[in-house]
Amino acid sequence: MTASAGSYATWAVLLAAALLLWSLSLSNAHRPARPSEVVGRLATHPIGRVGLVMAWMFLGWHLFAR
Amino acid sequence: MRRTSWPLLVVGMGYACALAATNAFSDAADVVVAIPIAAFAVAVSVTWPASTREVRLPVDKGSYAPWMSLFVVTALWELFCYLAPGTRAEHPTFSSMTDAIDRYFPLKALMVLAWLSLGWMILRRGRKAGPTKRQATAP
Repeated sequence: MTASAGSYATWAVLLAAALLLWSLSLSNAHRPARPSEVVGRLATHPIGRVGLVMAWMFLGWHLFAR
Repeated sequence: MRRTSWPLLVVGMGYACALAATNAFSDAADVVVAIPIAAFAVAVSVTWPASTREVRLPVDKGSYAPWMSLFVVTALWELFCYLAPGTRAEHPTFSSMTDAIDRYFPLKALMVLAWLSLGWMILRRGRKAGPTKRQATAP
């Protein structure tokens, strides 16, 4: 396996893990928190909400501007 | 979908198309991206409470640990790819992969829409950080 294929495979595994957590969060019993609940927890945390706002701004600037 | 959501979605889609039509590293892209960032900063400072009341789930209702673990692993992997010797093709970072998506107008517009939706979700959830009515009226 080349380095490139290994890197993309790792990204694919991380994406699959996120999708798996998301689907598990839709069940009722002993589930992981839903993505909106994770955002809600961070957005109401005194330090987490500062980080969340900065991260959202940086993400847009970095992805679409420069 | 609620009736009030439709105008927001239409405005968001229009904005996403406008931003998707710009090229990164251009003045146009800087200006168009700066608009929601500035609006977000204003909205946060106006609508969010100054003091917070952390909203937690009851323990049996769901756990945050798996998401936090996934975030840490992803951040470490991103850092490894960024610092690893070799070409970017061998060790693609998150932003180098999104650069590839940016070449296709519809995919870029969808990515912009996802970014806006996340911002909207953050804005709405952060408003709940204020004191409850009972706390606010307590002597």
